[in-house]
Amino acid sequence: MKAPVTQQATTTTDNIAVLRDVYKTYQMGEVEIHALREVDLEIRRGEFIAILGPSGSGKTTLLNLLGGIDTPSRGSIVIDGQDISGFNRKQLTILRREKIGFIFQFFNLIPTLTAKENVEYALELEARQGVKPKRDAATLLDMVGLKERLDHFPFQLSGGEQQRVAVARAIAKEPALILGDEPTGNLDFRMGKLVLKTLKEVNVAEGTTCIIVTHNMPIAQIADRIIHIRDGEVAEIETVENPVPPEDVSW
Amino acid sequence: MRMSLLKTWRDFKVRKAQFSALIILVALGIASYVAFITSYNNLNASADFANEQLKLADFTVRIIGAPRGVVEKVRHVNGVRAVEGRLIVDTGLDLTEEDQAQARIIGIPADRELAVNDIILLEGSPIQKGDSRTCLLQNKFAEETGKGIGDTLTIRVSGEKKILRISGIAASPEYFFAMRQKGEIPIPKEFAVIFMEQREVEKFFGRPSTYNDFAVRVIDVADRSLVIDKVEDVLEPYRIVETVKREDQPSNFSLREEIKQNEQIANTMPTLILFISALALYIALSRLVQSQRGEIGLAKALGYSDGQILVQYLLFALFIALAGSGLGIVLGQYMAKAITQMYIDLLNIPILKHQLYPEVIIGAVVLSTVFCLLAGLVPALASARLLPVQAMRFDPNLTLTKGRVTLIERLFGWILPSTLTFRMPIRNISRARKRSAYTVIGIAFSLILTVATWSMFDSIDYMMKRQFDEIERYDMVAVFGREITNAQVLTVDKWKGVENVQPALQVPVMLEGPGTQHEGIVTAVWPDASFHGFTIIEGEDFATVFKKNGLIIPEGIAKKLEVEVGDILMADTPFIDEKEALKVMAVSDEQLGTPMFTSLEQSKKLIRSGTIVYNSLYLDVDQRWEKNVEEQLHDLPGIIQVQMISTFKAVFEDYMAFMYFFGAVLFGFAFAMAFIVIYNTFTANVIERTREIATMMTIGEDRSHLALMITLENLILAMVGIPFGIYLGIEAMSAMFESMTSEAYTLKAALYVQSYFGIIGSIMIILLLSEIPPILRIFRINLAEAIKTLD
Ligand SMILES: Nc1ncnc2c1ncn2[C@@H]1O[C@H](COP(=O)(O)OP(=O)(O)OP(=O)(O)O)[C@@H](O)[C@H]1O
Ligand SMILES: [Mg+2]
Repeated sequence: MKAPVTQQATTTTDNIAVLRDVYKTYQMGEVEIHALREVDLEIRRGEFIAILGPSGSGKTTLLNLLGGIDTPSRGSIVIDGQDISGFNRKQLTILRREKIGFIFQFFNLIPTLTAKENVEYALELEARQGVKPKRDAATLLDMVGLKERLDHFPFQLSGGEQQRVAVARAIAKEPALILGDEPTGNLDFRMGKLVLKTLKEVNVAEGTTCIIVTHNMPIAQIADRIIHIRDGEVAEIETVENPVPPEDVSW
Repeated sequence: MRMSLLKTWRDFKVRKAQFSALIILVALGIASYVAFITSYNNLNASADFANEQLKLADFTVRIIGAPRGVVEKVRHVNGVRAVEGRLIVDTGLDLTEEDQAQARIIGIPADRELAVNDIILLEGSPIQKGDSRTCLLQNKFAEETGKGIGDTLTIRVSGEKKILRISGIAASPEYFFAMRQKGEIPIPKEFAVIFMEQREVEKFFGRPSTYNDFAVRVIDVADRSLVIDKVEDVLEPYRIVETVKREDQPSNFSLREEIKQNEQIANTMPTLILFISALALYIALSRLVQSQRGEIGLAKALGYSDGQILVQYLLFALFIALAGSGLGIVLGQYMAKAITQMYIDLLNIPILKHQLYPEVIIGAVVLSTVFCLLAGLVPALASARLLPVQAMRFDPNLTLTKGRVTLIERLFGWILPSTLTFRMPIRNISRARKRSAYTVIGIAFSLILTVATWSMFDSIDYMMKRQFDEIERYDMVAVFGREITNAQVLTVDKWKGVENVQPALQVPVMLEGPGTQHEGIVTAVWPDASFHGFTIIEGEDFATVFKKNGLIIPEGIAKKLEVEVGDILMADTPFIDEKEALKVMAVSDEQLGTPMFTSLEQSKKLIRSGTIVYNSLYLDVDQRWEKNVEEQLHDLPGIIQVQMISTFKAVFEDYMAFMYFFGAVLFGFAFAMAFIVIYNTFTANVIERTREIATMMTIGEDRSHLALMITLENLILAMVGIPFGIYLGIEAMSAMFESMTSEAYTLKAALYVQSYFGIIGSIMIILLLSEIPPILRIFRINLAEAIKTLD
């Protein structure tokens, strides 16, 4: 039997992600910690979303649920037409492999692989699903401005360069959704802007939905919508009238 | 300090499986130390105690025969503490209609305790004065033949059969190992030692009022050799056959040899096991320090001193040492008891002493503490020396040096699969060389014990095969108490089933070298004799030696006597007054016993005879007729014993049982250690890479590919570690055998080709098994937590 993940979604909607009444509760001994409560959310295809909130408010938790890294305690999550709330480990692995591109705060490149190979690795994973990759690593690295650094290992690259490799890795498989947990959190101002710019370009050029977590108000201004989270609840969803181009952001 | 303790405890809990494994490893090392040393001490104590309690003679003098009164003269010799005169007669015994055995009848007093070579009554009642029908039987023979109290024994007395009733089962320090000659392999059911009242023995064999054996104990301060000289002077008129010192007494000699071998094992094995434990601990702690670089840096930045950090890691080592030795001591005591029991049964010592040796316990704790602290010191120092900035930076150990792809890939890239799943394991190995080296060393060391044990089995097997297929090329040997004529040889040759008969003469000799003496049997043979297979190490081939009337001695004896080919040895025998010169013309490689050979022509001089005489026959016999031939031989006049190689083989196998027992114990240790060492290294490999693996899983890597990648990496490391380990194992075994080689055995390490497969196969199974926990650990990784933690 084929895993349902691989089947095309029967109903194509404009929403890439829909969360209904989602809860995430951690049990710490006697105490229950509600990391997320009653979250209802709809994210449209091609949107650029920023999740904003103070530390400990549940941003990472939300992102992890969207990316199939974690499962909700209650409620339903539909990603690209599939309800993933009941997915088992294997189904989640395939979901992440096929549909999600991750960008981490600490880059998390594979240290033994060169820039090119790090990107190729994502393509290799995709190929395991029988999908023949449409792009090649060199082109992707060229897109993020790193065509000169193909054969460099992560430790030979600066933080910003590493993060751009990570972006190339994330977009390699043409994901339905790119998730970034404070992708600029560990970069200086100039490098941070470069990464944001790259993300925005991908978002515009390919129509890939991007969701980034930040607790930095100016950065959030590049998004189409900002989801404000406080104490595990969605406090406000703000639509940005005129998103600021990343070049013009300052923080 | 309290902070440190707390932190140690917390770190311990995080890696509890790994550290429990280390504790078990140390415990195994300590258990082996305690078990082997304690059982060795027990054995020694039991043997000493038995000899002391039973008043083993300091020396015995065998003579042709003397009136009983002579014993008084011996007693009055200066330095003699006690003496017992005995009449000892060797004769035949009918076990069944067809089955014969040798019997040694020893006369003892019925009305008093023996002052020398006492016997211990294990069952039944002592012999009754004036009862010519009762006897005591040596326990091992009774056990082997199933004879018990009330049963009868049929012995031959001057051709007649006499029936004796067994009134008790006894053990004697002279016959813990029932054997006639030093170096002989005892065949318990072929040699019965029977104790009867002295007067009855005299009556039985028609030798009234005679002693032919004097067993003497010397007072503590006396010089034994002086006493021997004086006693020999007293007994000289009665024709001395031989004087045997306590250390050459056959049973005692064998017992001591056994104990010596045990001492070797007791010394080498625990050291090896402890060493492996220490190495594994060192590796584990080194890696702990490395994986906690960040924390160490932070602690230092917060103002912790180098000393505090050092103490923190040493506490780990100490904790493991104490827990490990505690567990090991308890385990070791149980094992020691079992091993001692096994030994005592095997060596037929009637008195078992098992005790706790405080020095062994203290030694165990000290050893374990020292080993563990030493193992912990280097990593602890390394941790203390880390500068805060350095500590918090990227671990240089985890990057690929020089930023180049690995040599293997550069060389073989064109044939290797190009998938990254395949390449990542290769890169992982070369990016962290130190870690890979640890893993390789871990695998190699865990193999040492396995290889050494395997080699022990092979060596014994090889030795047996060589002994019975190549060296002893006959089916049975018959030894006579008087000479056999050529006519008799011809008759035997015509018997049905006899394929070949070779006559020989066995002469007891005392050989004198430049420094030392050696007492043994020289077998005189015809130049074309083929019943013994020679491997000449140095000198002429055996036929030439015999034609030239030279002497062939085994390597061990050449070393003992400090002679080489071409040297002359002076030989003394009971039959000559002037010593005879024998020229060493060849040195042979023997492995069991110390057989020496010369020509029959030469033997004439050793027994002062004008003609060539024989006293033994080496026969090749059709297997179907073996029993018949044996019976016929038993009926020949003057026959002393018939030994069949097949029985000998069986007994030898029995005798080696304890080696196998040890082997089993060692295999247990070996496999347990291999598992723990490999498990620990692999687990550490995974823990150190948790974030990387979590990242891979997050971007869509699946479990089976991860498991495959880990397996591949481990297999590559194993491919390097295994040959290294086999090499070290063989070296360790050779060294141990070298130290175990004695007069009675020459041990050489062997390892069969199929054993290599066995070793590799079993280590692979262990490797794959020990991989399971770390792989399961990967499967349990909480992705959400793992990807956000900074390395
Ligand atoms: N595995 C866990 N077990 C228990 N509680 C957790 C766990 N993970 C997160 N939490 C709690 O859930 C809440 C939300 O955590 P989350 O990591 O989503 O915060 P965040 O908004 O990403 O914060 P930051 O900006 O500091 O990264 C916090 O109170 C946190 O302590
Ligand atoms: Mg967060």
